Amino acid sequence: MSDPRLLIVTGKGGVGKTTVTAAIGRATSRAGLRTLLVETASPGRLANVLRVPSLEAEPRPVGERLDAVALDADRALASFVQSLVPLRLLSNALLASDTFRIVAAAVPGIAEAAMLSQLLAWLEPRGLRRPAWDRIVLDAPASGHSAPLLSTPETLGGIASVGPLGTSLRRMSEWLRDPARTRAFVVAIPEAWAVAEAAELRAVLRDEVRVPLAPPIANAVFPRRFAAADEERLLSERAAGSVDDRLIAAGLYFLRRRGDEKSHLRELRRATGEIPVELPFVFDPDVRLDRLDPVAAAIAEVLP
Amino acid sequence: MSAKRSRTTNGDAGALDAWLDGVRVLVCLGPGGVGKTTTAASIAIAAAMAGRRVAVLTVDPAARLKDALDLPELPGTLHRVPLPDSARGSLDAVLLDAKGLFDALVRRLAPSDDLAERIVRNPVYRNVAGAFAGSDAYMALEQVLDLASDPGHDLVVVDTPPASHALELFDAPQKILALLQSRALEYLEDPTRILGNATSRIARGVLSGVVMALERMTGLTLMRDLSSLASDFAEVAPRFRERATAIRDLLHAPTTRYALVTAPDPHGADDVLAFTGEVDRLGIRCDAVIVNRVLSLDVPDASAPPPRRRAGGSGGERPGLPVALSRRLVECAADLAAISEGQRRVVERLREGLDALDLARGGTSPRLWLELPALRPAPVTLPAITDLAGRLGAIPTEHPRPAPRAGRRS
Repeated sequence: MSDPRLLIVTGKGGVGKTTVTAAIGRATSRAGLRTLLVETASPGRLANVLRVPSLEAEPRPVGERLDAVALDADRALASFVQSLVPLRLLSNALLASDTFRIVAAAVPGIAEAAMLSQLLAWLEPRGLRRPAWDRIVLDAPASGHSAPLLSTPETLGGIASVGPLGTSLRRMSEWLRDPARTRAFVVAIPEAWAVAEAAELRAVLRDEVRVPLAPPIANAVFPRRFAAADEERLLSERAAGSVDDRLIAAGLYFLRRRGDEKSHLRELRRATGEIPVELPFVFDPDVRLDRLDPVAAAIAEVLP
Repeated sequence: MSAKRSRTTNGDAGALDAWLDGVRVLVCLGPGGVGKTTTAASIAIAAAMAGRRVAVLTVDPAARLKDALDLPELPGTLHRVPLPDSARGSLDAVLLDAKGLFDALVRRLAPSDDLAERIVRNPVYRNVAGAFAGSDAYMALEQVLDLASDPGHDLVVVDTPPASHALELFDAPQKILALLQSRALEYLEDPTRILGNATSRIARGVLSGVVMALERMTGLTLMRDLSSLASDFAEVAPRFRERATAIRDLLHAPTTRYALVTAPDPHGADDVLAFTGEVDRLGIRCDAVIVNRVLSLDVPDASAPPPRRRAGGSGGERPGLPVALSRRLVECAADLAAISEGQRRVVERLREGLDALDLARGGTSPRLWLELPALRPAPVTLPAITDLAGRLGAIPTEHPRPAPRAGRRS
């Protein structure tokens, strides 16, 4: 048993947020913590890694001590309206009307607010019920969309002072700023664009949203297999023609890719002022939970 | 120039030119993080090198790409990109700015300046504008329409927001037309009409409760602002309707073609097929597929014999590769082969999925398939992107599929 914690995984599209989310779930569930994985974007990816046909709006088990759920903005908004309008017939008529969609869109951040209050319901169930999970891992939207989502309690909570949504936004805001309960993982891969974006996103999350940050995560890092001196050796072997050229080429690719990645890892460290956590590249073409153990082991060191 | 030319491209750069012949607008679609912006830029450069007068519209480029294309700070304005002397055409780049553009559009379409100002200053205008138009997506199309009717360009290359938002792109004109034709705008002036015939007191009571809750949450006089916006907007609506119709026509014009940009990542095929399926239902087909970041190394089969070692043992002048080093090389080759195998499977699934889609439609012309190599470091400078453009050698359409490799599990 442990007090619940919220782990938020974010970063630019294509850096492997879903893989990192799954690997965190693998690590925490195997450490004995009941874990819920929450998908918010790219429907189908998490289900694919978890080897289930799809994720539903209700949490469902996907492994030992491991559950998963899809958190959808439209559905969250619908359940929020249903909580305001108890008559199902009326709430459905309201949700189906164009006008309501326009009105809803006119309220800044209402869909995000509805998503966060659903998240809060999982973190802090109503009444005397105990939380069903020790860890909730949020596979958050890509960079450009995660800051608005996470800053909703601030932009909307300030004016939403009353009512059920106001209350849950205030509580969510406390969650999002509490270093004892929440940690955001900004994921990058060792490439220039991803590093630049991760550094920018961390600055926004830290200074504007004020979410406690985990060390920067460098995903999909190639292994170091050679010493610097090996390059010369491989080149001379290639010149001598003593070994299959393609093998030499494979070795040189690793060497040079590692060299290129190292410069981006250094830049990530410089730009964030923190030592990145390096997660190993998964070569296996089948990305699935039980193949993510090396990734899970690497990230376990920085999990709260 | 290209030491690492992809194995599967044959260097026939003419295929892309031929495919682009007669095309006025090329829309690049695909998921986020696959290098869509870079790819769109390289296609634009390739076409400009071959003599087209190209405008490329980019959405949200990374800072370094912005620098590479020398994009102006001011979004929405054309900027001439310097190309090598051998270029036979020209390239202008434009950065999309949805926010500024919507205001500009309202100002342009409004019958009077007063009205335009009233709309733009309405407190809920910004958020409502998004609902009206699909915001970014709609504004991208607005700009494409302008560029396409500008005689200074004969090809407009459009980089789009990531796939999930690109659907909004095709929905946007329909959405705005439907909205303008529906009575939703009138209803805004009296929101209780939402409930149609349910005029009972209870219904009205509940609804005004919801509206009050929304108003309390936002601190806005939401309904009053909305209804005044609705009546102001009604005057601009006919012009918007014209534009939306023109945009819809442009999207379905025979001179507009679509290219799917993707990367052979493990999740790639599923995401992309779900997306192309949805686009297909809207009557839009991607006639070209560009697979970006393909590992272009020729790696020995994992089942190949270990590296040859020279006879002569330890004392020779050329002792061959130490066992440890040679083992590491084999390991590297096996890992790269695994990446290649994964990429091959993704591309294969993509082909099968797209073929199935065509079959369901009753068969259509073959697609142009292009592969771009994974480059290290990533191409983020103008020379690097120009080089990439040179690699847009086309695979002949319907090229033979890679034969299953002997002795491999599938």
